[in-house]
Amino acid sequence: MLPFFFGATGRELYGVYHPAVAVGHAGRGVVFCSPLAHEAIATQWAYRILGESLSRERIHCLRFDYRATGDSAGDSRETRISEHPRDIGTAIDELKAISGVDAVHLIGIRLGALFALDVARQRTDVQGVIAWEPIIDGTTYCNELIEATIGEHAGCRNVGGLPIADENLHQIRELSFECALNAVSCEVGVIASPHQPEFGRLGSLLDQDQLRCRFEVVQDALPWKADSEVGVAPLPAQATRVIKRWLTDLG
Amino acid sequence: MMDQTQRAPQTRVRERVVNFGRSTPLTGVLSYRSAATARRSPCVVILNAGVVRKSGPNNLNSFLARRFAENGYTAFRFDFAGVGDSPNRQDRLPLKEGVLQDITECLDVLEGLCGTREFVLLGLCSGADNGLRAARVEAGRVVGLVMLDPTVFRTKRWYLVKVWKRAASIDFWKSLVLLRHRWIGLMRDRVRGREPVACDLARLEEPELYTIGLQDRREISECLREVRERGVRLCFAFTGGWSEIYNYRTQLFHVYPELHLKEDAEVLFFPEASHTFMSDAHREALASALLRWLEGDHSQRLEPEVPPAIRAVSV
Repeated sequence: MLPFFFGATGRELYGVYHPAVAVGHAGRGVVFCSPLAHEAIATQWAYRILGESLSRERIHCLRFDYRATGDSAGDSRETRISEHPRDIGTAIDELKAISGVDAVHLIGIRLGALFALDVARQRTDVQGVIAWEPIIDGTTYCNELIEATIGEHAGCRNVGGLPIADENLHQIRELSFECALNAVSCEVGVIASPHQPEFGRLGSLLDQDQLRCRFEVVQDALPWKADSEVGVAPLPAQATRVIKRWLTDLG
Repeated sequence: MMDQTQRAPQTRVRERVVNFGRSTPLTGVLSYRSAATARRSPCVVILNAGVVRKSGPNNLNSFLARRFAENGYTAFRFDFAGVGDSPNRQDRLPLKEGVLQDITECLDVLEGLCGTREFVLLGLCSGADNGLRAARVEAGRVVGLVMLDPTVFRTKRWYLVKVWKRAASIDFWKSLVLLRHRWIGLMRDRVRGREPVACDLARLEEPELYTIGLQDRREISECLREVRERGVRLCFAFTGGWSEIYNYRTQLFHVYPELHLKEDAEVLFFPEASHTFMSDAHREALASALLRWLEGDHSQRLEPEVPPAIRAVSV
């Protein structure tokens, strides 16, 4: 596990590189895409465990904080979700440079899954995307964020202790998993649990064959759901196993 | 509250990852001001709050570290072994001793990097309790201790304040009148012969890191007395999120009357703030108050420019 800063001066991103512990799945790398900042505090632990686990499977992994979140440069109030896909792109370039892989898989939780699909649409070096508990409908999610608001100040809503600019909410409203999925040509796997608020909607899309992807239902606790104020979610063991299987089964 | 315009004009804060640790590779982030101006002592070390990673709940630790750095104080936030981005312990030390070992190693590396031998430890909740234990061991280097919502104890006045606040609450009377109050529910269950709902013990289980701090009033009092006698300045901050234990500004003085903390300890009280300072305004207010406290008697001790060692740490 090697923590470091990367990216342009003034926009440094904090990342943790899990190098593959032995040569094996040559050319395989994974970049983890976090959800919105208030959910990312809880997913950090799941990503760490998964990163350690995949590195033992000889897969290079990089997890990182978007600009203005976690330990990356920038004040929380400067968070702009329109910049998150660019940060994922920077992380992909970094992983390729430090590990020597020439293509990567992306794993994204919640809104991170939609950012990952957006990046996959734009780049040719993304082999596949794993969407873990993805947000299905931006408008529904946006309404959830508005309901969870605990305060407002200068064009920002305080959700779970972190600011979300109104501008970000407008962008979230436009997002749709179905559209994002249909715009990519790489392989996509979806992991969802019945505890997820939008599980029913996802199920009906799958029943109607409207989604082109692998799908696995897990009973795990939700990795993004913080346990009260402390912000640490339980370990999603079943989902971790599925991801490991999908990534190591690949040719 | 600290206004944006009050910040120092040359506030470009630089940050470097520092990987250190003799037995376990620990990781932290050093925040410092890049301007070629004198740095101020002490260096502030921010400890993990429970098992939350070093950026802190709601990024509180990153926020405070950068505010300190903007104002010339070098700040360092790091993960204890097994927390955030530091791997699990690779020695056989029990957690309680391991945390102290991690802090000692942290101060050792910072001494070399920043050229200072004066540190302030800052922690929230269990981080505050760990800070107190570490200050006792490291009193030669720790000159200040900031404890945000540390372990504390109720007093008689706490109960009076609680009753008074409840009686003054419209919601309380409304729930009584509408027969929705918890007490009425309990009485109803008793009349109907229902067993009270068992407490969900699973929910009460806490990670070990939360409970390794000092739990006993006498032991904490002794510890506070000892560190104060050895010259450690004390700053306490309590929030409304802690109101089930602490609900009036001067409660600390009544918990430890034998220590006469009123004479020199700083006690900050944020009755509207949540335990993790979820609101921007409360975070800003906390940062301003802590900066004022830091400037209390350290502002005269200036150190040379950013030492070369810091520049070399970039990974």
